[in-house]
Amino acid sequence: MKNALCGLMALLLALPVLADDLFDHPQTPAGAQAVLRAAMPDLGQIQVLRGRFQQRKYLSEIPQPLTSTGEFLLVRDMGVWWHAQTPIDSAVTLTHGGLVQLDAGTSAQGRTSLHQPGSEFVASVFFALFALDIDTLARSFDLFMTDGGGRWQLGLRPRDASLAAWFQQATISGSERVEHVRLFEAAGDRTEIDLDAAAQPRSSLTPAERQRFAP
Amino acid sequence: MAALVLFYALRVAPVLRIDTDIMALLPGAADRTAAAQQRHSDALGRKLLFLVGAADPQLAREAAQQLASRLRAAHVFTAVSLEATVGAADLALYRNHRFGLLSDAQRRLLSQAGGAQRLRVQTLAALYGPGVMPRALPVAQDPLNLLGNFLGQQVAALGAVRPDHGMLMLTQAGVSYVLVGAEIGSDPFSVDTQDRVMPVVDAAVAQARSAGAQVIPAGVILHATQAARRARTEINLVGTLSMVGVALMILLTFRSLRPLLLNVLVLGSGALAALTLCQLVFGRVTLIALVFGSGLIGVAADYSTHFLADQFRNPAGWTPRQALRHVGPSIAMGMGCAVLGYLSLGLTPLPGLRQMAVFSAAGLVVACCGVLCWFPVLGPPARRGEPLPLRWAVRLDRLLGRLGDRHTRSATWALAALAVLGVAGVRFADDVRLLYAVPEPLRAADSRVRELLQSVPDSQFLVVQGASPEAVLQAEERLREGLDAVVASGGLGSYRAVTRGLPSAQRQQENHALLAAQVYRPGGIGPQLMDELGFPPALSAQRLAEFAAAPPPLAVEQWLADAVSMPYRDLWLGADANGYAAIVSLSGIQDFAALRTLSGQVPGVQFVDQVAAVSDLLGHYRRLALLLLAAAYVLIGGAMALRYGIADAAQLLMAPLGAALLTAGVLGACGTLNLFHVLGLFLVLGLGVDYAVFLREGAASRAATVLAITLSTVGAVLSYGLLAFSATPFIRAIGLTLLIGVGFTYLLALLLQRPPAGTIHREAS
Repeated sequence: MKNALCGLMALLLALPVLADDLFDHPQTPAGAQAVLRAAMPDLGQIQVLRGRFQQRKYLSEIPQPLTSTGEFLLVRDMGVWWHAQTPIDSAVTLTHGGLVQLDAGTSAQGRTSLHQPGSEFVASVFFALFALDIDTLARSFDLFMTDGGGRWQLGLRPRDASLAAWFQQATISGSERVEHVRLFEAAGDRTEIDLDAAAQPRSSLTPAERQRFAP
Repeated sequence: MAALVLFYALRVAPVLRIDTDIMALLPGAADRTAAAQQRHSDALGRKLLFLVGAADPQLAREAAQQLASRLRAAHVFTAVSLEATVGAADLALYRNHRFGLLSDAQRRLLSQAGGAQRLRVQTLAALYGPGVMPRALPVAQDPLNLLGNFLGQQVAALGAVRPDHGMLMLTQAGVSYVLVGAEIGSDPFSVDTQDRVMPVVDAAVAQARSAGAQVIPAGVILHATQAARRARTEINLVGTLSMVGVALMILLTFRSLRPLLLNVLVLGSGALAALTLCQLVFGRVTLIALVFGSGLIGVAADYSTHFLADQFRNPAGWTPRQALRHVGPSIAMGMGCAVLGYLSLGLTPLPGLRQMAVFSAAGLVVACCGVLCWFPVLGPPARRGEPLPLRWAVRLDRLLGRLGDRHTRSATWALAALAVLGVAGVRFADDVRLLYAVPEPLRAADSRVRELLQSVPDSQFLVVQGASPEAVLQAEERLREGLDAVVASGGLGSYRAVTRGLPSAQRQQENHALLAAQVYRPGGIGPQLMDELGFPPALSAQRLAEFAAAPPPLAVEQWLADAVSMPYRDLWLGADANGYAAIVSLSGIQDFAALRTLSGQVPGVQFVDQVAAVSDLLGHYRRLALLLLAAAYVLIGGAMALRYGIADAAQLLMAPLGAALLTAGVLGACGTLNLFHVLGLFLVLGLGVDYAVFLREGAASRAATVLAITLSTVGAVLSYGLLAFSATPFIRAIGLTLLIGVGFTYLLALLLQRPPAGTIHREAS
């Protein structure tokens, strides 16, 4: 059985990566998991991921994207802290439970709970997406995957019609780490996020950083 | 008799409605608020919900789908809800009126100094925030996402469930649940509804469980069905046992089948007449009237046993016609007194008590007439010899007589002291919740549903009234400011209110004015933000033009006619002759005092605590029933005084009165008393009066009379004594009262009403 699985995996890995559409390649959760573990052997052990991001939001009727840059911090089982530094200073904490909190900058003038229809779902998906939590993602999305030469691309399409009504699809790509996230809204807007991250032990967290994820 | 049976079978039986709802006892809606509340609780009572859960969300969804389609296929529900799609197309009405709609948070922010700039910064931060958020409108159309915030405020009111995969789902402890709702079109307390709905529910739930899902059902009809089934089983059991017992007793005493058949005839016609009259007058028969009424049949049985026992006065020459002359007056007197006592119940405005009065009076009159008319003609000839029961009764009477002769004074004092002590210790508890015995599985399922959904409405709620829809909405908005404070302080979990979905016209105009001053004007944060984000100036101008052309405020009728009002429609009670009203439903109340205070502060708002109100009402009627009981004693005493003189009447009343006091004392020593114990005391009174009158009128034939009342006591103990073991608390209360009361009545009647010396058991010995 194990041999057969290894054989199957070898076969999958050997498939040439075609330049065609990612969404022509459906993948099972187990298959996606296997590909990601092959590319990132430490995926299951990552405790803390720190790095910088650049995000570009392409909105209809604006010629240039809304571009922001800043730092982020992902803590396993706790959430993502997202700190935009340009063009404005603001921070958001996305926790696994789905709550979204927004500080006006790092100076924490006050925390506001964002309560938009669907925001809790979005927060949990966003977190799952960064943590590459395939089980959570597979609950709501059909998975698609291509890989080759140490690089992989994961595609997500909502299974639920009410979600698909505004969220069309997402692609995540990378090699040893998640590098690019692309979110496509049904209305035509899209968001591109480039990440540059490094894994760190949990002991690297300062008390102030822990506090950000406190309920 | 034949006509009665025919009438019953054709006209009454098909529509006969037996009500297990204790509320049916209480007066119907007296005023408009009450009517509104009634509609609200009726609507709640017709709802059923199912939480279908499984560790695998897909399995839960499939099981929920199957459950819903099974429920739908049965065509017994007016609605089965599973799908929850919040389509953008549904929001057209809100989109058109968006310039008057603001969430509370944004409205407050905009009305503060510098708030507009803070809102602008918050909006920018959200736009530059991570990923994407669903929006009600594209950034270009609603840059500040004002509509999105307004709608977001409504999602918070959903509780723990979230739209997911087109259904309402929630996840707890790794188990995903899907919410399925169903609504029945008729009264959940009607047996007919229960018979149609419950088999469908049971089958659908069993099916889902066999598919591997857990199903937690909840709804009033589940409780009502359980209560009705239990009551029916008990009444059947008690009825059968007591019938068998009484039949054996009659056979043993009269050693002939005919007395038994005559008894059945008399009691049957009494019961039929009572049922028929109740159904005709009230359109329904409450379970409590039935239980009370079946107890009354026992009183009616006294008449026939008294009549038939007369044969032992003089077995040799006895004919039924003679008996009419001999015991006829005492039977008529007993009946008259009892009817007088029960009719006093009819003086109350309480429909349940009125039913009991009608039921009892009709049953007694018909049974009594039956005995007096048919028995002389159809009665059996006397049998030779003394049956066992006669000998037992006489022996007991002699024993009591000796006891009484020797210790009359001390026994009387002891009993009186006991009665006074007991009655002084009586405590009343009228909490209606004590009268609902919820079976453990149902209670567990209910609390699980509450815990999972987190927003199950409590039975308490607020009613907001006003002369116009606008007045209602404005009052509710004032109320909500206070409610939000109570929620913030933890005194309340959450609430649902119409103005979350439809602000008053005044509030919409205020919102519009705020937007005009801060957002949609040249140089306001609207154009400012759009400029910062890089939108072309033409788009800003277009927004300002749209704002200038905003339609008038969204009106109630418009809103009600649109799909957006769906989550709130049940709260809008609409109009009647006096004005308009809406309900604010509450979940997770911790601080009752805060809510009461709040309702006192806002004009037009009323805090409705039905549990407390019903308990108060039960207490009120318990006090009323006690007064009526006293009045019944006075009435009966008066009637007796007319016939026997004041001194004798007082002596006659001592047995029933003493028995009632002793019973109350014993019950008080065992626990608290409520309305139903007092009703039980009415039945004790009925029996006590019979015993006293029979013993007095039949003093010349003591043995026969003692036999009659002994038989009656045994019958009563058999029928109501068994009710004392009922699992339905109010039936138990009546049963226990009767069991104890009948015993005391019997003993006291024999003890206190000794025959004149020398006449004792002349005939029997």
